[in-house]
Amino acid sequence: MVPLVMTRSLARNLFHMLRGAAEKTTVEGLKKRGLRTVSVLNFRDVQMIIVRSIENTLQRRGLDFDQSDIQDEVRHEFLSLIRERDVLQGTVDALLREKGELAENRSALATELDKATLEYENAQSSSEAGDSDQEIAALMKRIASEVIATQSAAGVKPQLTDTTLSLVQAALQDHLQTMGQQSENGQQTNLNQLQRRIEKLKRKLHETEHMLERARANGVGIESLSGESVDPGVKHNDPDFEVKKELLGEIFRLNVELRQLLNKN
Amino acid sequence: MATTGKNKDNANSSTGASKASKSKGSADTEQSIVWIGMDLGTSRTAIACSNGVRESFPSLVGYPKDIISHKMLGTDVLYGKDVIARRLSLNVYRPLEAGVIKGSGDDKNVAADEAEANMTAARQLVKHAIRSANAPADSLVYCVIGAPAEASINNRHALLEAAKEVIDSVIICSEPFSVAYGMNVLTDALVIDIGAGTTDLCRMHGTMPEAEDQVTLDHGGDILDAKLSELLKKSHPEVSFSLQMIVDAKERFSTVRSTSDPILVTWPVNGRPTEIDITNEMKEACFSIIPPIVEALGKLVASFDPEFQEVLRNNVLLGGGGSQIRGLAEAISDYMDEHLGGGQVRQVEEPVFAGANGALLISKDMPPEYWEQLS
Repeated sequence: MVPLVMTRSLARNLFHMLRGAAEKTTVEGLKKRGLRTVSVLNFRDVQMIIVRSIENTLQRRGLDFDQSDIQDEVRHEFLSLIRERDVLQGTVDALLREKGELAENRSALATELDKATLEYENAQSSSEAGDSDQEIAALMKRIASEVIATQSAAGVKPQLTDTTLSLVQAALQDHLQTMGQQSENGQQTNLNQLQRRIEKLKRKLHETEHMLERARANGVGIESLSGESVDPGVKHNDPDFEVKKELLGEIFRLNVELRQLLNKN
Repeated sequence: MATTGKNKDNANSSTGASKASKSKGSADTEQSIVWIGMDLGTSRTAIACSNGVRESFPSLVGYPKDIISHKMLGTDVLYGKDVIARRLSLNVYRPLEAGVIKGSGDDKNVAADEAEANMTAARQLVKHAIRSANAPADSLVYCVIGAPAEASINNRHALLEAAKEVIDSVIICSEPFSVAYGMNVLTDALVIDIGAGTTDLCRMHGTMPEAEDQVTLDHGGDILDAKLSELLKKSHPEVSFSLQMIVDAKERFSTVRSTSDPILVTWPVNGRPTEIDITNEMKEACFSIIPPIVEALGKLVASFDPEFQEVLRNNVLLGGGGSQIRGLAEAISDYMDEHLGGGQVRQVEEPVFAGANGALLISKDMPPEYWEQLS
């Protein structure tokens, strides 16, 4: 069988892929775990293992065509897989960055929303309304006294003065109401916009997290946030659950019998 | 991409007093339990642990010969590779033979004091293996130890005795069964575990293997070493070599492939390093283990349900240190074609750790209440 050869570029891609998938730690971290010696696997050996595994698989399959025919195809397929993995890893890295930015934006917007809501509520409170009513009353009083003084000096009839004052008051009320409504609309609009932006960010954050989970499930090198733990016992979703349960029970029974026999002797 | 290991002097954990001090309450939390699968082989001991530690070392224990060597070595006992390196200064014990502790069976040829010495060495070997697991001092250690398929009750008792000082709860399990369990091959399969002392064969059919499902052959790596030594003495009487040199050459060059490169070693001839071609002798010695294996395979297949014999013949797993002979799986398949009418053999992944990995899986799958009852 013509031996498969690992080209330089393939080896380089493989190296980066493995490095990306490896758990990173420091010498200090190892020391803290009480580890003083570490066994190191040479990358050349990894290459050899991969090439041999492909060769052995082909041999076991008993493929009877010339191995040199598929050598290029295997190499191309392998390189494609590594490239695909590289692209996926790049996407994951970008998603992680985006996730970080989205989380920051969401936090800032939430703060802004709280502030705007508070201002809006304060603007609706009776004490402010009371203040503005007093200002309006004072303004009306000033306008009334000026109108009366002007029209009295001009010899205008009192009914005309009253009518004028009523019209002025009505116009002022209208204007104030319009201004108030506009202000309230503006604030409400502002609040609505902030809320929509936050909802959008939440959705994007959720999507990014979902994509990260899928990437993790496909074995792309993302550091697990939770440590490894052992959950003892055969899992119920194990397809051989019943067989294993019986076998383990039998092992246990044999060991119990062994101890009983030894105790008798 | 690193496996780690540490030799830690943890003498306290080996005493009964410290065992009693381990809190039973903490056994409820998974982090306070370390599960271990152990393959106590004649030539090599391997452990696989739930905390990620995996270690393999020669099953050798050495004690300084005298005060001078004790002072030079600075310790009372050495293990594994250190024993090989310093063997000239040590009384060396290889406490396991044919996969069981020497003198623990019904063999009357072993003197009582020798049996006791082997038992002590075996205890220390197990202690060393558990120390290598690097379990926290306050954690419980639950361990499954693989034993040869035909180990007697006395053999199993000896293993329990060797383990009880350092392991909180021990389960003894058939070694080839452990290999099969680790590979998740629970039915219609034959497992061959080629060790140094023995070759174990085990038939898997979905239930616990019975005595008739298991065969232990005396042919293993040690027989191969003896055969190679014999052949070389015949073909190269002028060459000086030791058993360790034979073992080293075997581990580096063992093969049954006809197309492999020449096997050349540099060994002394009349004190002068000389290149020697040992290709033919190596291949002949390696090939010599195949016929008895295939004969045993044939018996196990023939006594199986005829409806499933074909499946069984074509689902043979090859494990153990001896399975690392290059081309062995294919050679056994070819020999089966010739003598049994067909067969397919595949080598397990990680032959050195296959038994330990399987034992670890058993230990983790075992219900916690069983461990409690056996402690």
